Amino acid sequence: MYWPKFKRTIMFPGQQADEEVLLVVREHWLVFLTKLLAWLMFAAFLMLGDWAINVYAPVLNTAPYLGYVNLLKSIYLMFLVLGLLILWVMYYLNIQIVTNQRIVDITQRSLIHHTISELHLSRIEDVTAEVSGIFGTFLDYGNVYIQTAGETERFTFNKVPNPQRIEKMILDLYEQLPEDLRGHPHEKK
Amino acid sequence: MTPDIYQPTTLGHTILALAFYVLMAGFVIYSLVALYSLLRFGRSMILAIIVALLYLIISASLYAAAVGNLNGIKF
Repeated sequence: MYWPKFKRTIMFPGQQADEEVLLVVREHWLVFLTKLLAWLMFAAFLMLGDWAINVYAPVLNTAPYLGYVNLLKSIYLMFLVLGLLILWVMYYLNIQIVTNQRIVDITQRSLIHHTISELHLSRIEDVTAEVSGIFGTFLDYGNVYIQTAGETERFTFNKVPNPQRIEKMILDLYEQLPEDLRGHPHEKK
Repeated sequence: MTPDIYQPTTLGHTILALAFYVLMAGFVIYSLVALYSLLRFGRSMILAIIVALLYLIISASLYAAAVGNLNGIKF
């Protein structure tokens, strides 16, 4: 019997055919929630404005001015919704991927600034997990720093959930590499 | 006596409409860039399409309301 083969999902550009994605991680949900709270503050301005008009300037609720107020509110609301979309897109597109060959950091710095950095496991020198703060400790999120063998900057996973597990996973993957590859990037024996 | 010349809009309304549509152009450009980034770089195409459609429906409704409010202004 013929079973159709499903096309293998490509997680990121440049993924090799034999490359297995082991972990896809993005910032902890609390980070997004914090940004969402900031957004909600802007949303609250709309209601605050209504309240202020009713209390301090009820004349703005009458015929000649009401149209302008409504128009301003509509425009503000549109940009508010756009802001929410941008917040979510930026959160959603910032991901870190760990495969059985390398670590890929996909960073969306702005809507039109997309960066993909990758680090082969053999270049890893040191991995550090850092959990700090009350929320980080209770909700178990923090940073993972990956020091590379070279002059390149260290890789950082910012505010990711379960940083210690990620650190252990990366170190385990490093230890699974053939011994002659560890710490000797680009030297094929 | 000056003849009664037909004027479709007043100058004030034209300026207001111009400012409104410039703002809307900025809104559309930003929206399109955000949706393009989502559809181009997002890992799940289905999620990206759902979010994009939802956003388009909401923003189209808000745009209709805003145009209604603009036309409701009498000079």
